Amino acid sequence: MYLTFRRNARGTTFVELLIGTTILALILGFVARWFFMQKEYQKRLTRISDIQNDFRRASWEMIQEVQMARTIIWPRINSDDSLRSDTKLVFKDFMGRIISYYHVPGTKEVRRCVIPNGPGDPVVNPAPIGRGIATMTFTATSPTNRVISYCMSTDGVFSLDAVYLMNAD
Amino acid sequence: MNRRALSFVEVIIAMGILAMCMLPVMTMFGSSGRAVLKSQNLAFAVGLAHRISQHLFDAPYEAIVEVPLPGNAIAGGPDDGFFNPLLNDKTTGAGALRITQAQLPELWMFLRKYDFRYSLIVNNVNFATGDQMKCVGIIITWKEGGKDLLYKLYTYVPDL
Amino acid sequence: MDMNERKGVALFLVLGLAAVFVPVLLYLSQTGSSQVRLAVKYHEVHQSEAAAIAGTNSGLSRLRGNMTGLQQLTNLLIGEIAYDLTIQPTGTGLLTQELYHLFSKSAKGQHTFILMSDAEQMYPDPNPPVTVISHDTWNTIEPYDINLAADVTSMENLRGQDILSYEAVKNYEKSVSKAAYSSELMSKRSKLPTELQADWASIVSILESEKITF
Repeated sequence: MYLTFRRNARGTTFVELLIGTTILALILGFVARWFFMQKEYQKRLTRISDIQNDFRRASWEMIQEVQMARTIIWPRINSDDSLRSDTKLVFKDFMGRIISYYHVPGTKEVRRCVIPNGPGDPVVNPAPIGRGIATMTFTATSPTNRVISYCMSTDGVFSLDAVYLMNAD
Repeated sequence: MNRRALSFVEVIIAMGILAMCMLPVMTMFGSSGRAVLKSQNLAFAVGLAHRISQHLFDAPYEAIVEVPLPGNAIAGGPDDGFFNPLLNDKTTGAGALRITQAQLPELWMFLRKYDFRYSLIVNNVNFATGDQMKCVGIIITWKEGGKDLLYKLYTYVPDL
Repeated sequence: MDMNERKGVALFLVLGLAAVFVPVLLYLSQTGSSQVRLAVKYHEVHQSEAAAIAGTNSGLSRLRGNMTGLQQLTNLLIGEIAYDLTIQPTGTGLLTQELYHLFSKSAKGQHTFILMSDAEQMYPDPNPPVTVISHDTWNTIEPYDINLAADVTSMENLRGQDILSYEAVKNYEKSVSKAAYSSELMSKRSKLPTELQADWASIVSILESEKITF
């Protein structure tokens, strides 16, 4: 035999439901607003970081090769010793080949072309060495042709760097 | 056993408490956002320091001198061979562009916003009798969220 | 709705919220930290490169200071980064200069950077500084051990292959006249990307003027 205790069971009234739903809606609204604000913020910062990533990738590839190059052919400083900039860089690499990095504004890419220093046709790398780069400028500042500076930018994000040629022929 | 169900109001209150507890977790967005921003400026600062180091290798040995803190501002700074003048797509010096509000406004604004500066610490190093090099510490400083941030890179510059 | 069902519904609601929010929050926080990791890696890459270059310069300095023979100098500091330095004699040159292979290595985090170059130390003089000529500097990011004979041989071989290619190019430049050299380069113009074609004539002019003749 069991004793059954019945609570004073009482259902939920419409008013309680209304109040509860209102409170829930307010809380969820607040949380959702915060969530979407932060999502937009993250999206903006991720875009900046993606651009920085593109810069880093292009930069590192170029630095490795140009550092061991023998001489910069283009651009070179002006006849009045002032600096000179161009959207392409041409140099002789460690093995004496003529290499060019050049910017393609339409596709926002930096591409690499190997021009044989002798018989043979130029070969463009199938994949670009840099993507998502809106502007790219190489600048010659030294009469020794041993330093090349470069500047990249996309959507207000910048990269300023330079490479010194360790070999000099 | 006094088994008692959860009322709807109790569920609402529980969810409200859960949402409140989520708020500190959500502030992770803010801190990870700040970390990303710092990484944006850190990567930029790394590039600046590397640029200076490369130019130092080509600079005349005697011209490598100390630039004490707080350092030279890059935006609107003096002609230094590192940053100013920055670009020139003409065949004479008249076309040289410096990082000023008039000539390169977007870059100038970015550099001024964070007050990017560079300093050089220069020490003479002798590894052996009759020879010397300069040990140069390149310091990039900038301001972010009210804090002063710093990036350092050291290199030896030989007397060739 | 009976008691158990109501409990179940409540539990379901709370768990459902947690199941939705927590993974999304975790995912979004990961985005930030992964970008920081990439930036730090970039910093490590530049730091190791700077240390290796510093090592090369310090090695040349030591040779100028009349250091001779095999030297394996490990864990030398530049700032907070260490570099290893090996100066390995390889023989004597025509002008009785001492010939060396100079290795400088720095590693930071996951990144390694090694520079290898030739160094010619002009007849060591009792009064330093001695004249030292360095050339053919070559880099690698492979994690070789610059004090291990097998790794050193690998680097020497790889670099040697590249130098042989350079010798072939030099021989070609010496063997052709300036006019023929210029003509060969200009013939490539139509096959170049359009971005290079406009200034190609000026570029060829520079190459022709700096062609190796001896």
